Amino acid sequence: MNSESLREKMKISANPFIYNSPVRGADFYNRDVIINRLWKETVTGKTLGNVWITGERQVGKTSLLRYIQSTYEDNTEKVRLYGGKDDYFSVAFVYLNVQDNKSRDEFFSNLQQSLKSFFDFKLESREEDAKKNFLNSLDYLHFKKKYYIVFLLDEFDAFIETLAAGDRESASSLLAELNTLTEGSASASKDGVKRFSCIFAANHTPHDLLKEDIIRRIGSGLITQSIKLDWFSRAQVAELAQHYLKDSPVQLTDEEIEFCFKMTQGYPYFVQVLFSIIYEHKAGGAVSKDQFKKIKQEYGEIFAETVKGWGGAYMPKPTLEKLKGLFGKIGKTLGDKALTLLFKGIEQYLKKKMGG
Amino acid sequence: MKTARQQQISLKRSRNPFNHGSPVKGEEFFGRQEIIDNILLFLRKENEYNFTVFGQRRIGKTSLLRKIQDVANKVNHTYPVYFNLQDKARAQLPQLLFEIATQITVALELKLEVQENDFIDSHASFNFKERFIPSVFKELRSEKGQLLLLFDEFDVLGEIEAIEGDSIVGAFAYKTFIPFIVSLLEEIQIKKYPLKSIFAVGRNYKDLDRQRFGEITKFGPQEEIANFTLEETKKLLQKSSDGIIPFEEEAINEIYMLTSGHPYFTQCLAASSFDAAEKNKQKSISREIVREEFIPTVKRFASGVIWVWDSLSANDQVILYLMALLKEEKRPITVDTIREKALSLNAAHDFENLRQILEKMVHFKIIRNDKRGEYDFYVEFIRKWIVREISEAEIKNLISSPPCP
Repeated sequence: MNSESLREKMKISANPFIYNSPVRGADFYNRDVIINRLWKETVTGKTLGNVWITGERQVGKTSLLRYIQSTYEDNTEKVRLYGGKDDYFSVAFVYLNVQDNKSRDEFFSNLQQSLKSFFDFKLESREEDAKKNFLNSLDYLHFKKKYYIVFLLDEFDAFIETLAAGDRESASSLLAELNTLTEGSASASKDGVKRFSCIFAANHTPHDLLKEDIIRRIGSGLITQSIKLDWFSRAQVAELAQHYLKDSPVQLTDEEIEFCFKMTQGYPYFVQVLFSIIYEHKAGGAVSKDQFKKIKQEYGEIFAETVKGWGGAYMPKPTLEKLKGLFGKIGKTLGDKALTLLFKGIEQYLKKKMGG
Repeated sequence: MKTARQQQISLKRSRNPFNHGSPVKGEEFFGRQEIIDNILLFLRKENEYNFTVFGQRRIGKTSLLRKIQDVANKVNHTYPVYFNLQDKARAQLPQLLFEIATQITVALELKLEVQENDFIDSHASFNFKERFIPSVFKELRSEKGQLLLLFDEFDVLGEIEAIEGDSIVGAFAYKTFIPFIVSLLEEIQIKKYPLKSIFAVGRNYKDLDRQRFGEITKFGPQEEIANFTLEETKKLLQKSSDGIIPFEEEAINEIYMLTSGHPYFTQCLAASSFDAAEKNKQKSISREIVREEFIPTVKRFASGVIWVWDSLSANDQVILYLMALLKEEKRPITVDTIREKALSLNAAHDFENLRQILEKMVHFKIIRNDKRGEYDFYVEFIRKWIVREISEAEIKNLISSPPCP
């Protein structure tokens, strides 16, 4: 295929790589093992527990939660819950981003609202207490409609930090409340029955929050299982390229895929960024040496801008360390000025977060 | 219609028989017969009014209370009602008493109507003791009923102390609820109400203010919930997994060696080993599988261990960190090597009371010692978690942050 005709075809087929917005539907890739584990922990296993997912910014947490909700929203398969009677329940995965929630009441009110929106039902909010209204809705769905709910709570640590900024005890108390609720021991009328589990997505682990004195333990704390959303392996990066370019006139060479893995170490967001840049530069088959230089430059600039834009406010130490490692691989391509600026920025974050 | 992806990830019930986070219920409950028998005996005794069970975090106190709820239901005319106080540390006494009263009437399906107005401010305590409780017995007495109140996470009411000085703390339940319970117990004793209580208290029970909690324990016996023995661990694992994927004898011994029979860690490691065996289509669970799954399990259940870690004092944490490193280096753990290790890390610390701290942790079964004066972790799982999750910087931060409680 000559370069002119390839350019024509590329105009018709849009660049398939996605960054800056959650990956949806068939574009969501490489996370089946984790989804299976999430099912087991929250619905099909004996624990019917909570899961706390952590991962760096843009590693795919929101995409994962959104994917779970959309894939299963028309699910008709029913399950028998462990520890329950012989009833069968439908399972609903309800997504809610709680980043901008300001208070406990707002949180419970939004949980209730998310149920109402998801199921499109009307139930009068009779109580002044937002939590009681939420529990009434939950009882209605569980006992009348036979639903087991799994809340997908995105940016949960950001909410906890906001809550703790006003009053650390409120944040700690909320975790204690969620623990008793998800154990099924909080509602007087339906004592001992688990009606929901939570999958929390966060940049920080509960351990980070304790270390940074954002929360303290109350009683048993909030019991969850930990899942770290890892960066993609070399093989997964290759599979992702094949998956996205399945019906495309453009195909990536082994050298280009290897280059991508080397420069991103499998960080999902940057994999998408770099693949996207490579895609745009491909015209006459394989990328040339000169083009690789340009791609490096372009990618380095995006990397620098992205990391600077993230700031340090919600960034835990391991993320900073990993970004520094990644920066080491691409820093040289940025030129002196950009490199110095980026490096200074990262050092400032480190100083702020780790005390120098 | 299901999508291809949905078919791959089915909601079919998992075969894994282990529960590693929620209270164990019904037939799933295992062991603890002696303590259950003692509680049943307590229920029959006329002059004992409360029973306190205490134990480490995640040892199974909630599961035991739930079991007692089931068992007591079958004892003639005993009506158990369960309360979890974990989220009540900040509740006001009137609000707490209103919730308890509501829960009692709902759980026992009493005709009695509970009005929030009866539980306002200073009237709440009087109305609960002098009006509500007698009304409950009026309804129950026709059946000669005995009321059993099960209070879970009772020590939560003492933990708020950490932020003493906060002006609003004074109104929280712990300052008023415990004195209230004491006065209720006295009232029960005088009026011979058929009302008994069981309190579940976390491992730091003995560190709590004796004056406050001592008032309660004087009314009845107390018993510790301990780890399972090797024999019990064996029975638990076999009962759970036989008929699905059984554990080999050596695998059981390995799990016991790594968990010392702590129920939560046993369930965690057993669950992970089971998953691995199932994934690899093994017919039984071998020692090798348990060994391979150990580190992934420590990672997977890290969020559960942090609350155990956080229930320790800063001094305990520093010493356990040093001990964990010593063992990792395959060095003996003694008073001298701990001091040496602290110096080598520039973590010089006020270790004047090192022996006492070590003895206290031996007493609480966090560590053990032998006749040669060497120490070791009681639960290897916790040691490995410390090695993996706790950084030197975190420990130095603990040392440099006064006061070190």
